[in-house]
Amino acid sequence: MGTDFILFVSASVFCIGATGFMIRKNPLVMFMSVELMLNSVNLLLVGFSKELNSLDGQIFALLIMTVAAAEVVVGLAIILTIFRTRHDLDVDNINTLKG
Amino acid sequence: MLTIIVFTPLIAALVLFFRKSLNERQVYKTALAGAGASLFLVVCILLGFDTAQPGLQFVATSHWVPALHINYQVGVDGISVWLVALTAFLSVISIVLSKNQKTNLRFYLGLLLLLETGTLGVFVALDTILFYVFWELMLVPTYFLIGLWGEGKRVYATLKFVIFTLVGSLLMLVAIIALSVIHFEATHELTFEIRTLVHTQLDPATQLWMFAFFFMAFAIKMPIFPFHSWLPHTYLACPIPVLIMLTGAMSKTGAYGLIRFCLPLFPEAIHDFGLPLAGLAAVGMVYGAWIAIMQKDIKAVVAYSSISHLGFIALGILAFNTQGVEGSVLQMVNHGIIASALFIIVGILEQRLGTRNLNEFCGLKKAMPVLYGLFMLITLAALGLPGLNGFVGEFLILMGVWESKTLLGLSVIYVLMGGLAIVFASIYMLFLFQGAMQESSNKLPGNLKDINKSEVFVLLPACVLVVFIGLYPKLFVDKISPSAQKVLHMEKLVHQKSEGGGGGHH
Amino acid sequence: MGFLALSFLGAVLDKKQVGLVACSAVGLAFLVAFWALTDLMNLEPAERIGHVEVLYPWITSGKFHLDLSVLIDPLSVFMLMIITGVGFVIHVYSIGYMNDDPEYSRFMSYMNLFIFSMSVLVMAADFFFLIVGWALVGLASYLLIGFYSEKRSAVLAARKAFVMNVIGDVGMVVAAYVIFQNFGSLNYVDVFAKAPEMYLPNSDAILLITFLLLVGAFAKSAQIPLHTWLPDAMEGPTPVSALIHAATMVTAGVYLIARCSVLYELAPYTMYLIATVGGITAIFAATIGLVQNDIKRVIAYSTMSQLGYMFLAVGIGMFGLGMFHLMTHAFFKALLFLSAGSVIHGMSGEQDIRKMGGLMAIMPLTFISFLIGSLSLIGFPLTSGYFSKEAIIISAWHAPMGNIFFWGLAVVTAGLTGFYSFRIFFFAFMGKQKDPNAHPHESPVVMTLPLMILAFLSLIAGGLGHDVLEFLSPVFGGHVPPHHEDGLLEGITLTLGAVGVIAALGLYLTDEERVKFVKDMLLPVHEILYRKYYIDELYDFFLVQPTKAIGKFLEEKAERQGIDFVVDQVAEKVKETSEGLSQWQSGKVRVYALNMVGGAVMILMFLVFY
Repeated sequence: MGTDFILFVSASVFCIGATGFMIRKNPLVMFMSVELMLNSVNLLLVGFSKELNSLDGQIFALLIMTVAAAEVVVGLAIILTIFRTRHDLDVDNINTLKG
Repeated sequence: MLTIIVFTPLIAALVLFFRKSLNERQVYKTALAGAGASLFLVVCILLGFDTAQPGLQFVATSHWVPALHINYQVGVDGISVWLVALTAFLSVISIVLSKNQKTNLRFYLGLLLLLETGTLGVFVALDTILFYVFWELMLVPTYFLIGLWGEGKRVYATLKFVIFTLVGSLLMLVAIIALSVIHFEATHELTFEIRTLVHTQLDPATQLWMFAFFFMAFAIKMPIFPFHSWLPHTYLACPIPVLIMLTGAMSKTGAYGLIRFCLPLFPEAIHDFGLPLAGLAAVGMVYGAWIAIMQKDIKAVVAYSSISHLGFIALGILAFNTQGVEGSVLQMVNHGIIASALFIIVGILEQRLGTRNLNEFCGLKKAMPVLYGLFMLITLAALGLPGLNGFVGEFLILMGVWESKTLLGLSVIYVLMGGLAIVFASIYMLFLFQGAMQESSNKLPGNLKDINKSEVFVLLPACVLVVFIGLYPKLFVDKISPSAQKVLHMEKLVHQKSEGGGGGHH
Repeated sequence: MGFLALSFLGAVLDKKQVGLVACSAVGLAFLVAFWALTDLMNLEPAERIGHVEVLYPWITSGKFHLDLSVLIDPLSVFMLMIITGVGFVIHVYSIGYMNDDPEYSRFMSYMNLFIFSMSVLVMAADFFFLIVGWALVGLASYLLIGFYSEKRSAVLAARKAFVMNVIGDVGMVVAAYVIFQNFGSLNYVDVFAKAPEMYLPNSDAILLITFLLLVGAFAKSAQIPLHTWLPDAMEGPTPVSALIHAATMVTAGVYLIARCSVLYELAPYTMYLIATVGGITAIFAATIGLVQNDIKRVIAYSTMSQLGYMFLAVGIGMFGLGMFHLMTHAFFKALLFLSAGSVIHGMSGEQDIRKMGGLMAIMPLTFISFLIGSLSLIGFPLTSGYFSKEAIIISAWHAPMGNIFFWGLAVVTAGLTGFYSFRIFFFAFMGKQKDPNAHPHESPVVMTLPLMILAFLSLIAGGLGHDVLEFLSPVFGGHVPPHHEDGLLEGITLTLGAVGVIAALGLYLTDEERVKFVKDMLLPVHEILYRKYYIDELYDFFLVQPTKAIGKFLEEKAERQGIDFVVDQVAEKVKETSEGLSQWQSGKVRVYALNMVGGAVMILMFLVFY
């Protein structure tokens, strides 16, 4: 399994995540898309770590996973609150921050 | 000593902000005590002031932000000492006047005291950053005072005022920082002390833009035509006690800044551009007076007359010689006294009659003989009657302009414009005074009362000063003189240089 | 010595007491002035000039230094004598005249203020305090013209007088700058000593100075074109008209030129201007006076006309004669005004001569004093006016700077003077009473006594002529002006004067119809004269209206639609821009995401391709 392949997979997963984030309206699915993107980067970091024989990438991957976990907690809490108050999870309708 | 003077009002203000339990009387007394103590100390300083010494006195220094060499440093010289005295004096007057303010007196007086601190701070600060901090500190209370207690289009007026001033002061901040940086590059010594910075040698190009930035800030604050457009709105919306501080003390910070920064730092820029800038001042002088003639609102008449008088002051400073600058400083004090007295009178009239329209006033003399007398005296001072204080300042300023070397060529025209402004001043002041006080009318309410004791108490010191400065200006000018000459020490240098270059045709 | 006089007068200012205090103060001042006079008389003529007493240093600013000081020399003492002397008499008169006025004490304090200011003016030892006094008398005059402050016309007249005087003041201030710039000092002594050494006659600086001072002098002394305030100033109480607008203040312009005689002698061009304007004003005012119906206005125009004579006199270099005429004029014009005041008082405020008549029998004392005043005014032989006016008219021809043109103006004016002064005289005192409702009565003794004093002075003061000229001569270069004798010219003047009187008599004696016929025939002329050559209307059209229009323009166009508009537009544009920008902030997460990705792609492209 060469680094090229890892790169290719990572890029594909990132694109899938980004597209998903942009086209889906449900915040939960959007959240999962964000996770996909994060994980694609993790994949990249681990792949390069192996290629360069350095542990730095793996440490960063762990860091990102931690951050992602924390983010999920906050994000889900926000989604829950929004659902409770509005009974609606279509992100297009959540535009109270409109300028 | 100066520190105490500056911060006594601040302490009183803090007391007012945080002690909710005070009743109105206590609030009023606290405020008065704060301003009064400050005035008392100022008088002590005046007595202890060494006339002969041109430099700064009562200097106090302590470290503030050591990492950047920003110091807390205060002191006064013969120019600022009078402005400090004026500010402290007017603060007391305006607090006494505010006695009848009913809504939220505690915050109102607190903000007024804060304004006093800011203004005093500007006059005593010897560190550019400190100067800037106080400069902005003036703005905050003014914003709330006009916005919350004002009248008419107060929000519009406040916004205009604040944005105008902020534009100017941000430009000034840029120039202040740049000045220190240039000084650092030249001497490898980082400092924000005005006293050191004024010796910085600047090349003409730098002088030019820096002068432009400083001048903008001061021109807006004064204001000099055509940056005056905030003034009529703000003055009309402003409650009278605040207006006294605004016109009497705060507008002087602009002129003071011109003297403190622009004259010593940018002699060449003034030499090159003094002529058109003085033109602006002269135009403002006539322009303000001309519009004042047409006003029907008595407050607006005084507001536009202020533009005219401040034009005089700016012109005197730009004349760039001893008589001009001394006349300007004296005229600053004079204008502070006269304009605030006029605004007090306007306030009294408005309160008694419920209107400010000149057409509605008529024949008040019968009902208010005491006011008639005081009003007449102030009117005469405002239109520059010889023997009263307004004339001394105007005479010196125009003499300075006449003799000025920077204004050579146009000085005659500027003096004639000054003359025109004086003639106009007599017209609009007489319109105001005679229109309100003389002739007879049957429209007046029958229960019209003459001014009461406390109003006389507020007006009387102003009247005494008006006569005293007119009769014995030497006392005042002697203190101003050495400092003014020190500020102008660059003048001769530049002139020598230019004369050497231009063939010396004197 | 001078300090005493000043402090006496200064102390008076505060005491707003009744007439007694006011009068005694002025009387005291008169005595002090008299004392100063005797002191001066004891000195040798050459030593009499240049006594300056410094009271205290007033201001120092750079090389500009001023002391508050007074000057005692023959000219200032001479003026002081007139001011305090005539002032005293008029103060006494005012006690009677203003008796019924509720604001009697205010009136008296203003009068005292005037005497004080006038003393400052004449005793000033430098141009600065000259200006101070100059403006203060303007103030006093303003206050007194507008004394009946409930009358609109009085208020307007006061304002007009003040503004016109401020114009003059500005001229003087600028003159002071020029003087300071050229001489480095404002003291008379310094300036007058340096001037002849430093400048050739008619050099630019001297011409400029003399001209600028002249602006002040013309404004104060109501010479064309700054004369319109004086007739209007008759709105004030009559003693004021007598004191300020006839005897003292309006002569300040003559005093100024006499005081600066050193400068003016260096400026023959300006002198010609003065003489010309003086002569023209003399005849101009006299013609207007021919047709006015208000007794005080006629006398006011006559004052203007006589001031024209004085300017003519100083303009041809006869400073002493100008001052002499100033003195006699002060006596007889004050007399005329006070008699007129007495008439008005007796007629309960009526000022229109067409409604008067037959007062000779009812008010004999007033009648006599008015007659003496009028005779003196027209220069009837052996009255004081005869000596001073005759001398001026003859000098207008014979003096080195005189010519036939000046003489012509002067002599025609003399004829006109005869007509207008006797016109009012006949109308008021002869014939029958015309208004049946009026109950004229003779005035009380406080009013008639001053009349008699002044009448006496008007009769005998002419004899002092030579003494006055001699006394003043040290100030004017030390020589007594030569006395010209010319019987023919004198004869012509007297004849013309007599013709004027006879014409007035003829007008008075003829019946209504013929008067009407003459009037109709001369209608256009009469109209122009009655309207005072439309000068007021011209000023209104050329000065007042444009000023208002420009003011309105500045307020509406420049201020509201110009500067305010631009400022508001800037704010508006900033607001619009930010509103436009805020459209981007749609609030839609997916749009944000798209933007983000798009941005990232663009950055990537940039990095890759460059």
